[in-house]
Amino acid sequence: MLTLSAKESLILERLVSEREMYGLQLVTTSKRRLKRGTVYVTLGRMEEKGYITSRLEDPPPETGGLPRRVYQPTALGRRVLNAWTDATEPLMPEFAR
Amino acid sequence: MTRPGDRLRTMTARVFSARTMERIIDPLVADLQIEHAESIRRGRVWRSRWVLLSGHVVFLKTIALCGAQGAICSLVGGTVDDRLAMGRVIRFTVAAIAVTTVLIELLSSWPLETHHPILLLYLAPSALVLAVPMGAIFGILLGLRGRVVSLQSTRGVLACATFSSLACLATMAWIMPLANHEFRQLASENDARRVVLRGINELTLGELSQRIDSSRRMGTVIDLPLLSYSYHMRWALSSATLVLALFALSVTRRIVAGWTTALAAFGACFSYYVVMWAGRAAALQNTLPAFVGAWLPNVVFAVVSVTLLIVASSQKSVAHSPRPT
Repeated sequence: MLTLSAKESLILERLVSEREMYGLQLVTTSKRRLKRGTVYVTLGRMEEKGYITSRLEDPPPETGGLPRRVYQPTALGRRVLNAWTDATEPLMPEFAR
Repeated sequence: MTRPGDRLRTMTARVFSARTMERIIDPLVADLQIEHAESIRRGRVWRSRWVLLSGHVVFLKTIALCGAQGAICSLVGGTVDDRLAMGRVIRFTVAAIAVTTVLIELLSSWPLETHHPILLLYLAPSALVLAVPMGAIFGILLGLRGRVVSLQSTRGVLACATFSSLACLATMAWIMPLANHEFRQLASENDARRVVLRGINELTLGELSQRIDSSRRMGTVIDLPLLSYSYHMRWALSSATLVLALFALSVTRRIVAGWTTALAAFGACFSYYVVMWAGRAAALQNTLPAFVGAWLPNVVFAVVSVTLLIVASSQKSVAHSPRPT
C-alpha cells in the first residue's frame, strides 16, 4: 500500500517545483517546516519507497568534501503527490488553500 | 586534512549498514562539510562555528533516529511482516511502560502528605526501572502472540531489550539515587527536625561498592548483606528486561487469545516478584550469597525460557522430519 506522510508530501512538492534539490536546500527553503535532524532519514525512506531518486554530485572545487546527494522526484512520486493533493484538497477549508 | 564530520562518519560506519551510510549519513556529512567550508571561505568565523555545532547536533539526532529505525529495519531486516511485528511490539511496549509508570507513581505517592507535582518527577526513575521490564513482557506478548517469531524479529526484540537493560542500568546506577534523595528531601520539607541522610537507595553504584568495601575492612557486618544485595540487585534488575524478553519470546507461540496474553504477562511479573522476594529474604538471612539471591529470578526465568525454546525447536524439527514409509 502506498502511503505519504505530511513531511513526505512537503518534500515531494518542493522537489516537483524545483526539479532537484540537496537535503540542506530542502530544509532552508521549507520555512522551518522541515528539520535537518529528520530530513535525511525521511529522504532515505522516500527513496526506498520509490518516490524519489538521487544522484551524487561532485562538491564545488573551492570547498571540497564528500560528494553531495541531489534528489529528484520519480514518476511514481509525482503520481502519488497528485493523488494525495486530489484527495486532500476537498477536505481543506477555503481559507487554507 | 580531516574535515568536519569525518571522524564521526568513520565511527558510525562501524555500526550502520553501507546503505544507511550511503543514503542518510553521507548526504548529511556532505552538506555539513560544504556549508562549513563555504562559511570559512567567506570569512564568517562565527557562522562556521555555529554550522559545526548545529551540524554535530543534527548528526547525533540523525544517528539516534537511524538507531531507532535500525532496530526495526536493519536488525529485523527483510520482510514487511517482521517490520510490522516489531512496530507492534514497540507500540504495545511503550504504552505498557507509560501505564505502568503512572500506576507505580500514583501508588507510591498516594500515602504522602505532601503532593508536590515535582515529587512525581523524582519518582519517575524508580518507577521506570520497574515499568520497563514489565512493559517489555506485556508489549512482546501482545505484539507477537500466536505468531511464529522469525529469527530477524527475535534479533530485533533482543537488541531492543539489551538497549533497554543498559538504559535501566544507567538509571539505577546514577539517576535513581539522586532522584530518590531529592524526593526524600522534598517530601520531608515541612518537618523541622529533618536531617536527610543518604540511605542505601540513594547511593550511586560506585558509592555502594565503596561502602561495601569499607564495611568489610572495618568489620561492620550488620548491614553488609543489605548493602551487597542492593548492589547486586541493581545489576540483576537492570538485566530483567532482557531475561523477561527472552521468556516472552519463548511463550509467544503458545499464546493466542487476548486474555491468556494478559494472564501470562501478569503471571510472569508476579512469579518474577515472588522469586525475587524469596531471593532477597534468603540473601538478607545469609542463607544464600547476596549475588545468588539477587540473580535468582533472572536465572530461574532464563532456564525456563531456554528450556521452552529447546522444546519448541525439537518439536519443530520432529514436525519437519520425513515420515517413515
